Amino acid sequence: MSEWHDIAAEADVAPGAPAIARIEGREIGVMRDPRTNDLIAIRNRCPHSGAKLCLGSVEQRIEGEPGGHYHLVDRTVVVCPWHGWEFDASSGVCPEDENFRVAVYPVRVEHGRVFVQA
Amino acid sequence: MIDCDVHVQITHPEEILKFIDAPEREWYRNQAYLLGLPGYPWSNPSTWFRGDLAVDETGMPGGNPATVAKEVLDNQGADIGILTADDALSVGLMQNTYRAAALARAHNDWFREDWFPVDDRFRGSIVVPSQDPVAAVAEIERCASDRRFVQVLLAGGSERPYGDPKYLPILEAAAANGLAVAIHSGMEGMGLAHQPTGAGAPTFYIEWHTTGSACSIMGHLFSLLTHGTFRRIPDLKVLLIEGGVAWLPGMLWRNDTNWRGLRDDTPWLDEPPSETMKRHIRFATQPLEHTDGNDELLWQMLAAVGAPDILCYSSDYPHWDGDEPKWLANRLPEAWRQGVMHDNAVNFYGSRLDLPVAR
Repeated sequence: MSEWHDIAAEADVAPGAPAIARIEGREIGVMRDPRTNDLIAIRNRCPHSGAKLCLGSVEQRIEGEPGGHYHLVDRTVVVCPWHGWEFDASSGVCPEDENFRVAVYPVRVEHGRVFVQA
Repeated sequence: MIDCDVHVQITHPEEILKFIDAPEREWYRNQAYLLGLPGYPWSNPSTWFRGDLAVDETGMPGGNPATVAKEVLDNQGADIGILTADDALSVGLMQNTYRAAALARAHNDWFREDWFPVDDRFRGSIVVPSQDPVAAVAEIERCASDRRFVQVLLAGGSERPYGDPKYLPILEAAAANGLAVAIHSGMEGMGLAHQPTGAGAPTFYIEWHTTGSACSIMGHLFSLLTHGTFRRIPDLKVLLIEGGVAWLPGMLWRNDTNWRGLRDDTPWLDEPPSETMKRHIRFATQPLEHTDGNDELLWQMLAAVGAPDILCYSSDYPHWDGDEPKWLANRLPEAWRQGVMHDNAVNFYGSRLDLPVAR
């Protein structure tokens, strides 16, 4: 049964400055989406080759059309610091290969503290 | 059996020059190399040709339609022989764009007037002045109504890989007219083309034959995939000829791996590029690499990227490194033979292979 865990002070979680906690043997990080200011709780291990995922970045997904057309879409991804693989911030799925999925967790803020359900 | 690569030789240049307007003919006669086409920097140290074929008074095989029909269609048992150019593969690399366009027209007329009527099992490739896409499109549209033409032929050697938008009109015109696009390795480092390898010009023919002809095909394959060409032209079909296939699994895996991490640069790629390849691209089998007793490993590797459906038989007649059909068929897994030797080409080319010919 997963429980809510007090991870960090909300003020301490900023874009590029995640909070990391170890919960029951798993390293879980809380990252700040610089676009929406939302918090993302995600396992700190890339399912591809094991990088510490929370050392990567939180970015707005780019889509495009052939012919050199690029546009930003309303979708946030966590980008691995090693090989640049992207993982959907809501589902944890790698859009390019759904066989690769990282665990993401519910997160909420109470009284200035960040809680993660894991 | 369908042979997707039968090279026609220009043994008598005047046969082609008769299709060029009189004021221009002398220019072609006066060129240092054949009809002004770029010459090969790397020449086979012995001969370009098999030694058991009939030759005419020029000492070359492959230049007489009746002889080619006998040797390829009758003796080798091809139901259809798709004629590709030989030296004229490099017409799109001539420095003189206008002469290239006129020579391409003449070569296509030569096929239509002197080759197709000899045997209704012949099909042909349209050569185009790819250095001038506007002229190339005009030539495709001029020829396309003759349904004995089944594809537009481009050379492995090129100014840029064919996914570049410069070439898009050529690919669009081919698809719009129900023609495939065949890219045949060769002509790297000739005329307008870049050197065969990223390491620079090779020294020996064997280097060119090993790396040059494979690298250009790799370059075009991944250029077409990366530009999203098949999203822009959903009906486009591409046959890659004589670049080898043993490297294919490794390069596709390498590219799919890169795509996962580098997608921001090409976000229009909405599936692994190897999956797009399976739907749109076919590979002519010759020269199927020798494996030193590891054929089973080769089949297993190729099956992982879509074989046997992605393979179409080619002989490369009349060249020295051709793959004889019985030898190739016997080497293939039994379950692959019908597809590779016949059915895959039928599915790829569609109704233009039908007999009798609808002109």
